[in-house]
Amino acid sequence: MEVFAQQALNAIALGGVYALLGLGLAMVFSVLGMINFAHGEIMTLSGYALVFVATTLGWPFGLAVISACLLAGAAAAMTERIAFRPVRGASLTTMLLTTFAVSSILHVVFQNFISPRPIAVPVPEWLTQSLNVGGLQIGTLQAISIAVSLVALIGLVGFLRFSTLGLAMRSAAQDFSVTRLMGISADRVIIGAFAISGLLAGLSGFLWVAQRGSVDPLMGFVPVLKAFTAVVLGGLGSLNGAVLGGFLLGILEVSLRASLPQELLPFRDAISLSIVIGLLVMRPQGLIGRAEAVR
Amino acid sequence: MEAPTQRHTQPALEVRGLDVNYSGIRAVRQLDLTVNAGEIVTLIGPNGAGKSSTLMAIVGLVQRSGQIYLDGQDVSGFSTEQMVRAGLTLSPEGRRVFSGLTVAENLRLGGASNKDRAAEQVRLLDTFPVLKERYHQRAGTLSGGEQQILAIARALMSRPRILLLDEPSLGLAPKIVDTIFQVIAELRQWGISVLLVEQDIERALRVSDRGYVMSHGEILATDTAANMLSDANLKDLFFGAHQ
Ligand SMILES: Nc1ncnc2c1ncn2[C@@H]1O[C@H](COP(=O)(O)OP(=O)(O)OP(=O)(O)O)[C@@H](O)[C@H]1O
Ligand SMILES: [Mg+2]
Repeated sequence: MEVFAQQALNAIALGGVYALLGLGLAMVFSVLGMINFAHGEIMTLSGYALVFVATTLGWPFGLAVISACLLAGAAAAMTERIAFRPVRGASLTTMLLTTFAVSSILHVVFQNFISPRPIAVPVPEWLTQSLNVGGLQIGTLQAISIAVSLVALIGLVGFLRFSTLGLAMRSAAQDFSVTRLMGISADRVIIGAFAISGLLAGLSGFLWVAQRGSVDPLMGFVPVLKAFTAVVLGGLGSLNGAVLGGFLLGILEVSLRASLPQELLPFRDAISLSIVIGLLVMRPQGLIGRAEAVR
Repeated sequence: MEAPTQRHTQPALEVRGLDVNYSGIRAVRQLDLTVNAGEIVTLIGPNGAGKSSTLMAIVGLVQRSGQIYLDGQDVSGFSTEQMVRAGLTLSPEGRRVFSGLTVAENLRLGGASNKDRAAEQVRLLDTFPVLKERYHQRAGTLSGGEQQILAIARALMSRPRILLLDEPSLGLAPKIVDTIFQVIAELRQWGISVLLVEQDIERALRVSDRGYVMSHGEILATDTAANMLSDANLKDLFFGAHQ
């Protein structure tokens, strides 16, 4: 029982991070129909920003996290303005190539202007400790992961439900032209989606680097792959699907880690991806995706 | 209803030399049309004539060239959102309500550019009680007729001076078609000018002041609605346009 509760907690914590990552991709996908592969680099950027603000400027860690998130939101909005707006309306291939280009440019910038090697993140000691609550080991970081994911999810739901821009993002996911007929600027909807996606990248970036303790230029690859898996699993184009997919992926990975024999553990990512592919063969549109092809 | 043709002289919407090209297909060619303040004008023509393309081009949802004036102001370069903010909007063919959003959310978006949207909504919910009943329901769960009413109400939430309506009666039960045409006739009292595209030519002309006939992207004829209705040649003209 306790083992199960412990694993459930691990799964929720990991699933929450994947849900945030998936939502970051899904926000942009829902309005542009494009998977932004530069999402991982925005995460990496927020990691560097965290180090810079906490170490170089010496600001308190909490404040550094908030600044890093805001910077990630602004940076994502900037990539929209500079790189994606000029190719808006171009073919999907052009847009995807643009996301790879942005991603590669950021790699090069990180490698040449920051460092090709990992940089340590000054994770405060209290974050690495853990509490023993009734036999359960709850890491502070784990608790924070769960809290941050929940607060971010609730905040996002509120924004999408109650603000005009949020409603416009949902309606644009369904019918962009008619959303413009509401007198709502297409640019605002799209740049808004990027900014939110960037904020989510910042939050998940913080949780990711706090876990690893370091930032390096290629760090964004694995999380963006997880995010992509979560989004596809839940159903491309569905924000709820991204959240569901994220949590399911977390549960899947934690279960595999707990149940696989020692010698198979190195293959757990391959195994979990195979299971995801199996699910998709049965339900190609994803768990709660629309049945018809997405654009 | 008297024939109010003489009253209206000030053009609310003036379109000059409108062209729409879809990669090689010239869907609209050098089209001129005018809707005077307070008028209801019908645009008729066979399938594929370019009626929807004309409306979509006026609101800027498809690439266009040519001149467009709203109350005399040149708005040819306006984007869709600027057009809506300047007082012209479209209720598109096929309704296109946001099916995953509630009636309330659809209306709220419709009024996104309107500071007085609360007052507008009170008025529209009085006019369309069915929307009040379904207020918190997802638009996708509404019947076709209810969705059409929602689409029109959503367009009216921006308090337009000119409303373009693309085939509002298409595929609807006769009773709901009655309601829709009543609403269109009432828009005149609200001070809204209308450019209407309809397959039900006779009913459309009966609520209209004037009409245009178009085919193959061009205007073939224009006259008062009364003349067009009594004109025995109308059907010939219209069916002639099929060739
Ligand atoms: N997006 C598009 N791309 C290419 N061609 C188009 C597009 N939309 C319309 N067309 C073509 O332009 C022409 C005019 O179409 P349009 O929809 O404007 O006609 P319509 O008069 O509204 O017809 P209907 O009565 O069927 O609604 C048609 O030949 C149509 O096939
Ligand atoms: Mg049409």
